[in-house]
Formats: sequence, C-alpha cells, structure tokens
Amino acid sequence: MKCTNCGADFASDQLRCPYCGTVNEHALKLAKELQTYDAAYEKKRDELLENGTNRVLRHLTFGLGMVFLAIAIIFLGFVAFYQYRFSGESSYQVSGTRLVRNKEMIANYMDEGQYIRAYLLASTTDPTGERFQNYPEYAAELFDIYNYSIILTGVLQSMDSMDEGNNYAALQDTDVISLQIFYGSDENSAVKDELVQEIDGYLRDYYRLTEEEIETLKALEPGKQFTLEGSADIESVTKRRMEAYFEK
Amino acid sequence: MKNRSNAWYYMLIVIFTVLFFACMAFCFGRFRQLSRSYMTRSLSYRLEVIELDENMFGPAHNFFSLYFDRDYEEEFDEYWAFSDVWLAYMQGRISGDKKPYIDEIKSYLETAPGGTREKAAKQYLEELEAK
Repeated sequence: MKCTNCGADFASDQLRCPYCGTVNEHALKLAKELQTYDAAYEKKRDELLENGTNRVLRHLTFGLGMVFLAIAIIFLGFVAFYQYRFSGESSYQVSGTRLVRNKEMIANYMDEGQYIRAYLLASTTDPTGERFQNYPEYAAELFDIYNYSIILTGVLQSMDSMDEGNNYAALQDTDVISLQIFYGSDENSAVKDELVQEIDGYLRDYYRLTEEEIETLKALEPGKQFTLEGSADIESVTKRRMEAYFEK
Repeated sequence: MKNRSNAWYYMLIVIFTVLFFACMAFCFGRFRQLSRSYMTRSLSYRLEVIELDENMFGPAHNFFSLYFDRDYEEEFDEYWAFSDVWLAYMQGRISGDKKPYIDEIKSYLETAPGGTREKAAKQYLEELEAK
C-alpha cells in the first residue's frame, strides 16, 4: 500500500510507514479487532470446556446410579425368589380348631392303622414339613412312618415294574441307606415294631434276604458297606435270588 | 429445544426396558406358580385327578395317586380302603402265609363296593387263593 504522508510503498499489515513513521490506520484497526476476537474466543472456549465437563460428569453420575439401582433391584428379586423357593417352609400353617381337628384325625388314622395317611396329613399341614412341629405328641411315630413310607413306596414301585415285565429292581446301596435310617432312629414310637415287622417281611419275601442278613443290616453302622454272600455288589446277589425264586 | 440425542438417554431407556420386562416376567412366573399350586392342591382338583388316574391306569394305581398327591382327606376314604386291599394283595403275593391278606380282601368285599374296584379285589382274592 502507499503511505498517506510520503507516498512510499510498504506491506499493508505493517502498523507504521518504514520511511516516515506515519501510523497505518487500517492495520491498527485490524489489529484491534483481532485482539477482541482472540479474547472472545478464549472466553468462549473456557466456558464451553467447563460446561461440557460438568454435563458429562452429571450424566455419568446419574447413569452409574441407575445401573447400580438396576443391579440392586435384580439382586433383591433373586434373593426374594430363592428365599421363597428354597425356604422349606410350607405355606400350610394351621392353628386353632383346625389344628385340634387335625390331631383328632391323626389319632383316628393311627388307631385304624392308616399310618401313611396320618403322615400325609401331618406333613401337609405342618409349616416345617417333615419335622412335625405342629404335632409334637406324634412326632416320633410320624418320623418313623415317614422313613417307612419311603422304603414302602420304593418296594411297591419295583414290584409294579416287575409286573410290567421290566427287570427286577433289586436291593441297592441307596435302599440300604434308607433302611439304616429307618432301623437306626432312636425314637421309641408305638408303631415302630409293627412297621419294622412289615419292612422285614418285604426284605425276607421280596428281596429274599435271610433272617441273619436282616439282623446284620439292622446292626450295620452308618457308612459301613452292607455285603451279601461276601460280595459288596448286593444288587446282583438279590437280583439272582429274586429271579431264582419268582421264576421257578 | 434441548438436544436429546445423548447416548445416556438411550442407555437409560434400554436399562428401564430390560428392568420392566424382567420384573413383568418374574411377576408372571410367580403368579402362574402360585395359581397352579393353589389349583393342584385344591380338593376338587385332586378328586378329579384320582378319578382320572383310576380310569386310565386302573384302581391298582390308587395307592401311588394318594401318596404322591397327599390325599389324606375324608373324601378319599373309599380310595384308601381299596389301596389297603391292594397293599394286602401285594404283601400276600410274596408272603408265605396268605391267610391274613385273604381275610382282609374278603372283609373289603363284604361291603360290596361295586364297579372296577370290586372286580379288581375279586381278581386279587382269586389270585391269592390259587397260589
């Protein structure tokens, strides 16, 4: 550009004329504008940075809070469900006249020899299932009947399957455990002798055990292996005996 | 208008949708479980089931129906009476002394129950007497 004072040529972004020193008004105006823009830009940049950080932090806190809340709700749901599912408490809690009536019914069933029916009544209407908390006066008898019913249904089911032409469901180690629990219970109940006699009958007549073997089984200590004819494979031995007896 | 296209909003929508469906599924499952348990435990339902079982599998199945469905009420008296006969028959089959079991079946037949139960009891009696 040309100097307004001396007319010399010089660059338009220079603030003064290099020959006479006259101020270049145009360049000065531009420089001032640039300064203003710079300040505004810096201010705006700082403001944006601050706001953005705050917003991100706020959303992050809220989002994480929601995630934790969701996890907590799901966890509580699982806890509540499993507590209900595996609590072992029956929803049948009886009291008052109904309890008295149930006790009368149990007494009647016991007198009539319907032991399993008495046990079913007691276990169904007891909040503790097999512990018979509602019926402490019959607890010893009911516990024996409970163990007896497990053995009886097992025997009857295997007899049933034998009728249908399936293989002989011979005496197994798991049956021996049930028998040990039944014979080994310390409860001195009034029905024990009768039930023992019946189970002895099934062991003798169905599984073909001898009297000595039954006595050995009764005296067997928990955890010890029950053997027949010197063999631990009681299933094969009883199966052979049953086949020989029932197919003759 | 506020800019709603933030990823967090979508994330929250997904979380609450999943939560909502999880809760609904849980409630539905619990409701179905409870309603079924009340239905299957009801006396009328169990009476219907044992009657169906008797028609389908014969009266010999009564003992297992009574035991596994926990039918202890007075309404099942006749089923229990027959299941005692069936038990006597099962014991009599394997026992050396069949007389007490034969007597038990005979005393049951004195009441003349009629129908398939009487027919089955007579069959048990014949079978035990023949052995």
